[in-house]
Amino acid sequence: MIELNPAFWISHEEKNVLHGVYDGRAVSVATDGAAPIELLVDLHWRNRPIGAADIFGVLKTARANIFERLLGVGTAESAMAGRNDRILVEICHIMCGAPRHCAAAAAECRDRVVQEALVKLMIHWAQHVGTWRAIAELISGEAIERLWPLPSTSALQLAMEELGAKNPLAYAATAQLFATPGVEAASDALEFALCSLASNRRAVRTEIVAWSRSIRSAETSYASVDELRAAGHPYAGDLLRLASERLAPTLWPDLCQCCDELRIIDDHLSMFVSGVETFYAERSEPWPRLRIDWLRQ
Amino acid sequence: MNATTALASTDRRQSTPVPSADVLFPEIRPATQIGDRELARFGTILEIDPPTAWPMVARLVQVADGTTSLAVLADALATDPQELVELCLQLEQHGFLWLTPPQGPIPIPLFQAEFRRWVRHWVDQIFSHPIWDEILDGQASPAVLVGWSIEQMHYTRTVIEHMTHAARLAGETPEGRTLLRHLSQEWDHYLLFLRGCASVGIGDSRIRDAVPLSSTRVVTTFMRQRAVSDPLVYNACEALLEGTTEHTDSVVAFFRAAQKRYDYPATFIDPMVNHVKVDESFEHIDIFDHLLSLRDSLPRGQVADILGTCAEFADLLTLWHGDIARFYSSKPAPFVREQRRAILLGDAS
Repeated sequence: MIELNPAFWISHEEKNVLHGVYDGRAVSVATDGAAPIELLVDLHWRNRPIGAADIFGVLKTARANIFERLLGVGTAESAMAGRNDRILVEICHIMCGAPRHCAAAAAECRDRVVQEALVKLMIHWAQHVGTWRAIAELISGEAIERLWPLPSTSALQLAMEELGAKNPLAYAATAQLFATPGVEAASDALEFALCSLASNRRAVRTEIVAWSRSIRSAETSYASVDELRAAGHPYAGDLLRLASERLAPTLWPDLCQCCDELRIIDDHLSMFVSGVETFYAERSEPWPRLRIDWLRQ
Repeated sequence: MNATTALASTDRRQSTPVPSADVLFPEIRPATQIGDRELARFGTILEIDPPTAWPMVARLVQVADGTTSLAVLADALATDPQELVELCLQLEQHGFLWLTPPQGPIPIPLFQAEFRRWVRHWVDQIFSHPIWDEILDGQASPAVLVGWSIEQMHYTRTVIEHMTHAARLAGETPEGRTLLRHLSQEWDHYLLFLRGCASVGIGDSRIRDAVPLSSTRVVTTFMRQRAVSDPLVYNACEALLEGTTEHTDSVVAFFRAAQKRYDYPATFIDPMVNHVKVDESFEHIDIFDHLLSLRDSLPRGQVADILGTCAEFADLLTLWHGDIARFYSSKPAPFVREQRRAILLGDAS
């Protein structure tokens, strides 16, 4: 008997065929043993001692899958027709919340080096909160403190805080969702997705491009630390690679647990997108959605 | 529910002395709607009688923002201060304004009445999802109510993950003892749902190992965060949850109608009905009131925190119900979300 690599994302199943995503690519695989299952299943992966490369390999794939989900937000314009402004503001809420879940991860991380990388990343993200505040205000005309996130946005934020506190390794795999400094592929992809959503808003696009330029700069990145640079990227490095080396679990079920945790974030990203549709289209929430003063009219 | 109340000029508080207009700063509460000679809020419609009083009431509503005393307002409105005090006392009694010193604490009886108004509003919101009507009409998949029961099982099983924190943080206090008692009564309620699921063919070990929806987990996360931040706010959220089963008769009638419509076995529906009745017999709905009774008043900031947090929680529960409906609607009944860690593909030897 063999087991499916847990990083394989099953999109749907038919008799003897699995359809899913592996390493960012859509794949369909027959399960009768004759199909090229080596694409998604390493027949020996469970028999080897677990190592940092295994952890990085599995979680990198899981990361690619959820990153695809996030980028899908930017390309789902037809489904989101007329609601790009709303989803951009929800993304601003999420980006402003990034330092909080990073702080939760840093607080609970047992490894001092990763802990320091996390707290620097938190500070880096906190330094860029101004960008997201500005974008939210440009779009809605309201300060972000007055805007009330959709429940689906709050749920994603809560899930990230829980992940950070419970599983810093799995959390490290999600960091690129919020653009980690120095990883150009992540910032480029996010810049493209966000600019697509802001295609009719020049001032917003200017903010996004400026943000993308600044976070890739090694000189200005607060999160650039030696250990991270040594871990694979010329500037800030890959937090997941560093975490894979330093927080390596010794048991395969622990690694599987990481994948399960990442699937939860994937679910929440899906809800994040559908939430905009549900609350603004079906439930006709007022726009912009403002916080209520619970004591005063 | 619409309640209509006529505001009569002869209506007075009989037993309490009328406070001075100098120390009262009226503040109109949120969600007050101004109509044509009437005010409305959460189903209470206040008709102004006599109609000649309406212009003054309408102006009062516009300017009562908690920063100006009634004495000053009476001057501005060219009316007798004591008459204005009496009018405002009635508006306060019907839940349209606060009448306290500036930034003063909110007396517990006023807060309790206000909290109940909001809870009724939020419970309506939570159950506004069309899936509940679809279940009654037979339009929904039979998997939905089974799925709802499965997710309720998952959530109630995690009471241990949050109520424990709230009880621990409350310490050796009357609140702490109340929370421990609540925990001792609540921690095993998931077994009721477990039994119900077993009767539709979902075995004990299968459901215990099943994976909750991510939206179910996030409800637990929300409660965990509140449990460690403020036990009173946490218990307000608990009260909101219990409020969803406050009208026992209508909830039981819903379950029985669903049983008949989908031919669910009685052994599936009975545990859900029992859960509602057990909560009622334990008087869980009153726990928050009991905790409030240990105080005279609440600071305004804490009132705002309680109401804001419960509103967020109501939103989250609305999202949760929608996600349960969406996920299970497309599944055959009964459907269990299995762990996907180990998918056996065949013999590779």
